[in-house]
Amino acid sequence: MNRKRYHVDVDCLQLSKHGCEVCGDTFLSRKIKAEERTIVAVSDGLGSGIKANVLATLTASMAVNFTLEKQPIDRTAKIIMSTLPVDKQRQISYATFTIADIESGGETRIIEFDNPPWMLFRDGKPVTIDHEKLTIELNDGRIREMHHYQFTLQLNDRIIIVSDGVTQSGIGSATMPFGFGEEALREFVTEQFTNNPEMSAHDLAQTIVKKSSINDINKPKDDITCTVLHFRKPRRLLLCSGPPYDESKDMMLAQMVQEFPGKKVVCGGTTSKVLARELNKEIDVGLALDDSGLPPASKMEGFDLVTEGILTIGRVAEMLEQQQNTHIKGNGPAADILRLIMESDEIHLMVGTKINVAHQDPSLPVELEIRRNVMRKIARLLEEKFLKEVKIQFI
Amino acid sequence: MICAGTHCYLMGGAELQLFHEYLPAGLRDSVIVTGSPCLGNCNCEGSGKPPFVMVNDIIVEQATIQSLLEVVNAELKN
Repeated sequence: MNRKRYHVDVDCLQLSKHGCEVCGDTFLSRKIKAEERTIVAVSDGLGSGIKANVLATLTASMAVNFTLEKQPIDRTAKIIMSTLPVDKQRQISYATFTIADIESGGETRIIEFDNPPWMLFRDGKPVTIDHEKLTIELNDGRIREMHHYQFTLQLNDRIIIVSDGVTQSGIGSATMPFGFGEEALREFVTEQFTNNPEMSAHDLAQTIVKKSSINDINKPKDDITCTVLHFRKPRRLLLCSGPPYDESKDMMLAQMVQEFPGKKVVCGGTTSKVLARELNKEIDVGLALDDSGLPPASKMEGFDLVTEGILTIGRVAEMLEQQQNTHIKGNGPAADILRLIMESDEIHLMVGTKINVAHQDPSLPVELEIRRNVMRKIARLLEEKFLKEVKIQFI
Repeated sequence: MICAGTHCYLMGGAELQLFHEYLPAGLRDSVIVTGSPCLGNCNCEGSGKPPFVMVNDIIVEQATIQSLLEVVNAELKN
């Protein structure tokens, strides 16, 4: 089995209830590199606003961490439910959850408690998966029922987890008095796949959230959350920056870049010149300035993007730090690199370690950091914050 | 050819990329402005200070819009 070949693309979009600053649903995900597992938890706290957010965050983080430790699910659920603080007005403590635990081979377990049923789409069509019911008795004698699913994902399967803000959107309106509904949502998603079978997790989540918001005439009556998981072949991106320490390795670098299966980005004037020389290609330098304040991008055949070096990757690192989702706004080479990164699952960073003597000039701004450190920072952010598979290589 | 490498860009090359717009209207058709990922002068000792610009075969160091205009005018007269 070539287990490593598959990638779980996870994206989640949320909208808060109209008038609320904070979303009462929480989405958390964790990728464990060593075990090749992806854990996703979606929780909807009682009510809306801060109180709901606290409940949901507590639930989701406990759910993720207990699952991570492979704790039995009944114990996890019991602990979550007895830990949640009791609502002052309603005298109950409550938050729903859906936990998905996926291994890179496709083995999947999903535990669902009171959330709208999650959906599986295979070849663009909805598929039903059998579940078993788990009944849990809480310490105070209350009985809770959960659904437990266990199955193996196939290539290009998509899992959709929504909060009731999606399925109940539009409730009370003339066209859908009982809300959008699960059946309509299923049809809506099927329609999306008919139009675009390759739809990414991000685009699908965005489409569903938008549709739900429109159902509520753009004033959501509840927090809307949509999480999409796409099990697919990894998309690769090579980010090459810096010339090799030793000039004799220029050819090796050029060969590795040329043979790389996937998209290619070069950051660095000298680096792109080395590659152009070794691969016998022309660089067409753009002189169009934009509002990013970065040196302009150039074009080279066989490459998706050619940019300046340290300033651009410095900005990429900065933007990654500030970015809260995968939707990249703005113009300029750094934003373009970010967009390419977000579209990819596996990012190879090829870092040349040659020190640019000219950059030791004391008249240059202090922001000019050492490339290695910036690239390490990018690698860390991509791995921890954006769940990307990152390989970093120094030459 | 204007250097768009890190060093030149920071030391004033950013402004030079708009050089074409500073050219007098009469000269715009006779001058082609292009860019280079890095002219490589910053790493050669004794070649001067950035930003660098190459006008035909002449390397202009510490280039400004003003100094470039002078060099371009001189070159056009030749």
